[in-house]
Amino acid sequence: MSEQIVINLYDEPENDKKVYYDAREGILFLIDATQSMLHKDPNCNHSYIDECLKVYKNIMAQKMSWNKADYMGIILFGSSKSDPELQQKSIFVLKKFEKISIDHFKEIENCDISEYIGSGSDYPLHDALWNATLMIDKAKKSIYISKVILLTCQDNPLATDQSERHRIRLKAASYHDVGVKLNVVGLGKTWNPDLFYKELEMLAGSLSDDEYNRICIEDLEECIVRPSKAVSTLPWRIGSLEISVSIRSVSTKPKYPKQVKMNKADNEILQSSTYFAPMSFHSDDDDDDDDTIVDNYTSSDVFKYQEYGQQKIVFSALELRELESTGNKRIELICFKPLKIDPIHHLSAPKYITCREKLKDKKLVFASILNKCHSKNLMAICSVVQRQGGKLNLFSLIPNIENGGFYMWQIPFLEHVRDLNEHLANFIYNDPPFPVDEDGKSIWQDILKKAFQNRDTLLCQNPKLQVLLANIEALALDREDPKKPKDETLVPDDEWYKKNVKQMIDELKDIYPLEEAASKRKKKQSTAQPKKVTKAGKT
Amino acid sequence: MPPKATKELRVFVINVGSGTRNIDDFQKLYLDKAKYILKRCIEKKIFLDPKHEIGLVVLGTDVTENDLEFDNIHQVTENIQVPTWTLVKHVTNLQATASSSNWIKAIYVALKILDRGFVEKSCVQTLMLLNDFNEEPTVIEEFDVNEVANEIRERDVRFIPIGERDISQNSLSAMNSSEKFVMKLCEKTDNQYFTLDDAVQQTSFYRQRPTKPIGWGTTLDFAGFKIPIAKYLKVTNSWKLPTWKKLVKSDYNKEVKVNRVHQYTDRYRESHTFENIISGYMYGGVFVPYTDTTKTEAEYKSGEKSFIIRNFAKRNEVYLDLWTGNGSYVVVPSGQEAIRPFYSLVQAMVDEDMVAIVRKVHYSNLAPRMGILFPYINVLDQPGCLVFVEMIFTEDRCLLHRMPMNSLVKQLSKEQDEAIDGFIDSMTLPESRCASDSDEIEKTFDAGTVHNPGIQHVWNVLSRRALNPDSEIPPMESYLSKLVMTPAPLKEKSLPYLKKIEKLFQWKDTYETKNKLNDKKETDVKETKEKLQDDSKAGSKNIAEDAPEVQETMDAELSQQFIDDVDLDNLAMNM
Repeated sequence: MSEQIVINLYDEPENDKKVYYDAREGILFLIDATQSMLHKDPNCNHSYIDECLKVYKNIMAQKMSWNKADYMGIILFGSSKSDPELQQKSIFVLKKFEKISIDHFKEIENCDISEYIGSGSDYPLHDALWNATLMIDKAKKSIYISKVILLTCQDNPLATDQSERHRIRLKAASYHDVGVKLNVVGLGKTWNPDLFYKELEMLAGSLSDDEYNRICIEDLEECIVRPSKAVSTLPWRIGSLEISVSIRSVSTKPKYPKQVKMNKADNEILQSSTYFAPMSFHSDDDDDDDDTIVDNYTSSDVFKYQEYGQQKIVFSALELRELESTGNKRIELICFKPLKIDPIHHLSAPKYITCREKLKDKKLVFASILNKCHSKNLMAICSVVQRQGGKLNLFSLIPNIENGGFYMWQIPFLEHVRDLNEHLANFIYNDPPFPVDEDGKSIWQDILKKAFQNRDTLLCQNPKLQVLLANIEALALDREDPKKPKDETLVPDDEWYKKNVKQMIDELKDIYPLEEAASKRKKKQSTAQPKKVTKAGKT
Repeated sequence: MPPKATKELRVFVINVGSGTRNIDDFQKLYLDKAKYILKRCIEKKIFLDPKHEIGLVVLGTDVTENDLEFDNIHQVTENIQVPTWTLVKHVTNLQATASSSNWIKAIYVALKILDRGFVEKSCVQTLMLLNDFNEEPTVIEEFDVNEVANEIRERDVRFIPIGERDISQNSLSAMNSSEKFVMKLCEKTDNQYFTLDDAVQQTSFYRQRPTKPIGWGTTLDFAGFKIPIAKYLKVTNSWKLPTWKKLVKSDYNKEVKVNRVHQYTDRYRESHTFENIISGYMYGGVFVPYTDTTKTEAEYKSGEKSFIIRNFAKRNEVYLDLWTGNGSYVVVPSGQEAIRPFYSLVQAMVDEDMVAIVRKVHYSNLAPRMGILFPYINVLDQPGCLVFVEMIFTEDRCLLHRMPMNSLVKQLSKEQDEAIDGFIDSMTLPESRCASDSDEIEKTFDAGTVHNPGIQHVWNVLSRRALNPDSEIPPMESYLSKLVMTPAPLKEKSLPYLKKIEKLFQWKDTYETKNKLNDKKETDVKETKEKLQDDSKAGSKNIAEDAPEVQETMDAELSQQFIDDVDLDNLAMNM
């Protein structure tokens, strides 16, 4: 499927007068509603079906918070009820595939899914897959990406009915032709993709064995809400040779919902814009009654200048762009170097490079450079211009064979690094060793062992963002008490700390009476301060 | 407040008189370089130290105009003054003459200018002399080196002589009398002699004065145990020019300064004032009012300024993908009593191979940021510290799609594998460099060692535009783009492997190539047909026939321009 973003015009002229340019996404959940879905997931103590609905709601809530115009829907298969609008048995459209809205959200929130769970042995997967594409097609909207998420706890369905399985395979393969992605989420620890579903997913996406990637229910929300996006596609030049690659995001900067302004009189959402006005005109007492006609200028009229050596150095807007441009977007290989990642030289969040080539041999060169760099413990040094007319920077490409690409980490230029050696000369210990106390060190070591966490629990949610989102959600859904998200940035478990670490902390306090020193210093300062005042008073 | 930067008063003295020497040699070997150095020095003053003051004395000219009335010395600036583009233009227009020169007399003129300048106590005075040191012995013998040295020492002036030959290693007998004099003067005034080549290298790049480090003071807190610390910015992407001022050129070609004005408009493009506007957010396509009162009541409060360790983690689990922010910081203990507990913690982290996860609130109620503290000790000549790098929040992580390529690599033939292997080896920078390695291979591409070509280019363009306001934006000069290119020895070594790779792998889609070739053939045939038709129509000589001549003149002009540029580039690169 092409990766270009389709620019959509937000419809419904009555309510949405604003023109949105957004990439619209369609997510259709195809949930297994057979009896086995009532089993409880040992990880969270919820039934599988509830877990599916919870993820659906979370995804929707996220999309609503960011005011997305995406489409979502749910089809149950193997259910007790059959949809009157459909001719197939045991298939029920719980939520039509349509644009998400507050009403849509409330409906799902109040829905009791257990009443739809089927009691028979029907597993009408073929019909469900057929209906899913039909429903997406019926929406008749330009949707940039459509995904069908199939959630099931059965890993080997219809094992005895080979012809039905074959029909399902053919149906799945047709997904590739109609440009709909199919992801299968297997529920339960023992669920084995190799029995049936891996093949189905590979057929639907025409993926190779290597490219197949199993998604767990725990990761589903992240996969849909925060997938890595291609920032740029560009050629990687290796001497005179070129390989097409994508730069993908590894993380984003903290993002908050954007405030909008509404006209009190007619509830119209106002557009924000800027123009240029002569400096003398734009004063603080900007009065609407004043009918003075003043020339306003657009950015193309405006010249920009710097003043150096008593002279204005003037550039037009176009020239300014040219000034900072370093040519076409590209990655150029400079050399290879032994791998070294030193956090002291961290400048910005890394990006990720993957191969975009269709041609097998070029892919092969990419893969083999990646593997060789990994086995020789090398990194590639490259100059990179990420966007057309953008700035040129140096990056090291660090091999990551697990995901089949390179981390792209910026190398700071001389102008980026500050020399602190003179200022911090007291802390350079070359010959006499660092002033380390064995006692202190061993207490710290005990603390480290107790208060350490593994990677799974390292990250925490942005509390400021979560509180803001909860507040907006509560106001939008007329909830009196907004949810109070837990502040994960604070010490995870205060009680636990008190119980386990307190004794060691007290020991540290005994060895290093820092509090006493601090209070002494405070006292000194407070006694010194009046003196200063009197001195100042005298002068 | 940081102390005020020291102001410098500097007088530049340059010789343009070739005397008895061949004028072409003088121009090529000395004057072009000397002018380049001088131009760069004044430009650096304009851009980076605009408050410093400078003076200019030219010797060996046909003009005699100076306070001491010495022959062939032109005192371009009567007094010391702030650097301007007029002075740069004066320097670029300097021409070689056949006049004889006397640099010692010019030093007296320069010292006179410095004397007249208003000298604040904190000012530094410098005298920079650019000369080929080829004067006749009779000219030099008039002067006593001790006297000249006394004049310089008395005023506490820093003397920077820059000459053509590298004479610092030579014995006195190998020097001419002018060179002997300058070396003795350096010795007596405790200054150093530089060659033109050294100076060209030093002046090729603009470098802003380092800002005085200011630490962010707080305590590193773990479960109530607080160690006073200070956090300093180490790596940052903060370089930018001052904010661009804006103007428009009005009908009468008058320049009018303008400002950007923000407005909120409705569908009729009518602007609305803040009294008629409500702020809010969009939720699922519906407007949710969010007033300032809601904000203050319900907003998240992060608490006081703090730096709290949340927990510890294994070093290898906090991989690159979790790092974010706009740079790195170093954290050092603050105060004598904090040193021992601080380094005991750092050593424990090293021994256990662990890092600390911290919550940072920069000042009261600012959004908290999470960060990782890496121990950083036992690095030669570097302060022992903890390195702080910001860490992402869960919401900021993007899920990478796995595309392992292991099975693909198995398809490589032995020959292909060897070619790639050889290529990587030939392109790998040697770990230890010996003295015989050329300059090119000394490039290590380590962090903080390469000048940013983009920034340097911006300065170059600003200078060019200041001197020729109608000039076009030039492309980046080659000495700058070479900064980020493969070192020549590696390029040479890797070329055979690269050719092998090109041969062993298929680089073009055969189907596509075939089609393209067919397409090209078709268009070629079409074009030739059209051309033939056009030619038959045009009876007389047409414009196209003129084109080669025009093109030739343009090429000649361009190549001349190119040669001018290249000369300077090579000059800068080879020195």
